[in-house]
Amino acid sequence: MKKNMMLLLLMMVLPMSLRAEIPERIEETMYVVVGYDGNDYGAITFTKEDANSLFLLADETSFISVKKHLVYWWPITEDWRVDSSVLDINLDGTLEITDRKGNLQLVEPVAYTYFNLKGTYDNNWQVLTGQEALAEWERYMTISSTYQRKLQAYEVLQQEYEGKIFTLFEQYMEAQDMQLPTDTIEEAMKSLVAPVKPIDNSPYATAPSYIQMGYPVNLPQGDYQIRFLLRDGSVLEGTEKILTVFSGRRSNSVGYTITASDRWTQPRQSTSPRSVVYVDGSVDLYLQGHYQNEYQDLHYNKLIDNQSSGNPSIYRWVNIQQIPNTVLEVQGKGEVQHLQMQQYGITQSSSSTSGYQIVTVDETLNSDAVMVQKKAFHLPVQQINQRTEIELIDDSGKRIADSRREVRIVTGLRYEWMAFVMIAIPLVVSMIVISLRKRRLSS
Amino acid sequence: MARKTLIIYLVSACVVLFVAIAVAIPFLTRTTTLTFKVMESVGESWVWDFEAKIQNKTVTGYFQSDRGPKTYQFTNLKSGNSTLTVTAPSYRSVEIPVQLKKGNNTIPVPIVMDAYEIEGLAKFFAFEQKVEDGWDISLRAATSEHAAILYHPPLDIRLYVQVYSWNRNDQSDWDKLLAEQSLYYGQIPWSWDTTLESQFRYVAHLDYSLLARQTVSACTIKYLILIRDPDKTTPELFEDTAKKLDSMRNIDQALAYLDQQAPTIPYYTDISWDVAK
Repeated sequence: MKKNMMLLLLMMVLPMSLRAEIPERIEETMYVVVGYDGNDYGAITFTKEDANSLFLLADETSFISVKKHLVYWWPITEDWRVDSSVLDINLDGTLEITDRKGNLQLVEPVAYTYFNLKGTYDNNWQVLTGQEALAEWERYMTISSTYQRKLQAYEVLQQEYEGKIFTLFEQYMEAQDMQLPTDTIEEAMKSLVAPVKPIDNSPYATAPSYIQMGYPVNLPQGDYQIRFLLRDGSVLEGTEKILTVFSGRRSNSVGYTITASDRWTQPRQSTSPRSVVYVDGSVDLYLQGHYQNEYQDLHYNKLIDNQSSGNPSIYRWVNIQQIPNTVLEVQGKGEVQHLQMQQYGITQSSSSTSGYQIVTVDETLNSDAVMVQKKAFHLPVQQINQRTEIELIDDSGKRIADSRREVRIVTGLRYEWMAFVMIAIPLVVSMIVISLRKRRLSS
Repeated sequence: MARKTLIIYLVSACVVLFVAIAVAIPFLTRTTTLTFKVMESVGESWVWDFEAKIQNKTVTGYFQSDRGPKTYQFTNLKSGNSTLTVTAPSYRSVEIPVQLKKGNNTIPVPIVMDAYEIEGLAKFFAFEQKVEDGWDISLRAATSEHAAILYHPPLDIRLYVQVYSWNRNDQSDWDKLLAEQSLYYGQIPWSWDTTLESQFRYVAHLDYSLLARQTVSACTIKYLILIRDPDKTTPELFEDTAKKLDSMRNIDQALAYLDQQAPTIPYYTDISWDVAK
């Protein structure tokens, strides 16, 4: 008992001497890449000094800058991280890119910004450089500050309104207590008009990124040598690398994002035109057709994060953009239906069976209260047969290639008793054989 | 028999040749590299914004690392004789002839750079922070417009303080700094703070135990900072002057001595009124 207590005490005391290991930060010369990943400018990564290559998408404008930052190893996620809070040096010079034939391209730095405009669908990314970038930033600042001013004025009016309501309410309660007439107070309350919250008319779905200096790179597919020349013409050590510019093996194929109504935030993907969509036939489906490109796994992973690994012999589909202006043709047993796309979302549900309910978002609904919205085709469970075929048709009536899928309901076993019979046969045969042998031996 | 022997010899020769080629290829195709370290002479720490150049290649350096100077490397150099040049603002350049052999080359000792100025320095401001046993003092180099000078190199300095007891209700007034209220005069040690996050790096500590009286609630501290200008003052003269100042009774005497006897040594003064103890 005493021994156990000592052991327990030791176990409690020992961790107190442990200290968190503070990672060492080391200065490195790096390329910081703001790369277009097919969807947006989400491929923001950096190359460590010992990395020998960087990756970009072909025929898309990406931006590279050459920086000095501190890096440190983060053991929890097992990767190198950048600390730019203490050291953030943007090196000035010329980016030299040489293709395999020896053709040289010198790239000078430009001011740039990128932003996503509001539209029918998610991705309307724009990139501007130089004076255009500066002008766009000015425009954004003007729009933003105008809206902020309107919002502030609205909040002042709203406070005044609430103050007046409160005062009248107090007067009303007082009058009621004293059994005085309240008609005039009620009239005054009714005549008060609540201020209208200003609408954010900003054209941006994602605001322009702050103006940065970078080297714009837009190259056809291929491998290039890249290095950075300082203003005195010397090569900056640690910048000589291979630039791999890649494109999709297959482009503009059609994939589907399939959301079952009971798993709104966990959609599935149907990427291959030959694939079958298996469902259990118990819930409605919400389908979104999108263009997709197929990239080499290693290249795409490296584009997103230069430290990551990947398999160079396998390819993966990447969702690019929802296909605009289409209807979904659904063909079950004979009858053909055309579904229109609509905006759906979820709201908090008071039901005990489900935490949310799916609603159609339209002008009558306060869209602020609707979460996880998606523009999709609603395929009710009643319209899904044992074998249902779906296909997208564009606004000119043309069928969109690679968009045909078969939706099949997976049913349970029909002849369960057959399985039991199959299991029982060897047992019965064994019993017969054993009893026959016993009988023979006993005789 | 002779044929068989010949075949054995031939096969053996082929094997030896194959092994020799396999060993020689990586040896012959290895690149020439040069590794080195750079540090400043006073704090043996990083040199802000240095450029090391050799054979039209450049390495730049700033903070290096949390744990002191980092090892830098030039790659893909041509073997033969070359000169490595290291320059940095406010530091004397260093030129090192190197004979590069194929493969890895290393400069065995760190390249030490001497600073010669704090560019734009016109004033030092002293800031005290009360700690358990005294004050932690940071000295902030500033321009004539009182703008802080960041990332300046460490020059050798000597720091003198004179501490007066102070009535917290009094207004700042030089006439109230009476000799009989002086609690301490003397040199205090300083250090160069290499922590990357620090903005101001000359730091010192003034211990309460140095004060003649411990019962005061506040003090006024006069500062005298001597800087060694490597172009005008030798280390010996700087040290001798410091010893002279150590033997004096107050900062006013020290200032008079510096003006008359050591005009080549630049100095800066500051005062902090009503420093809570």
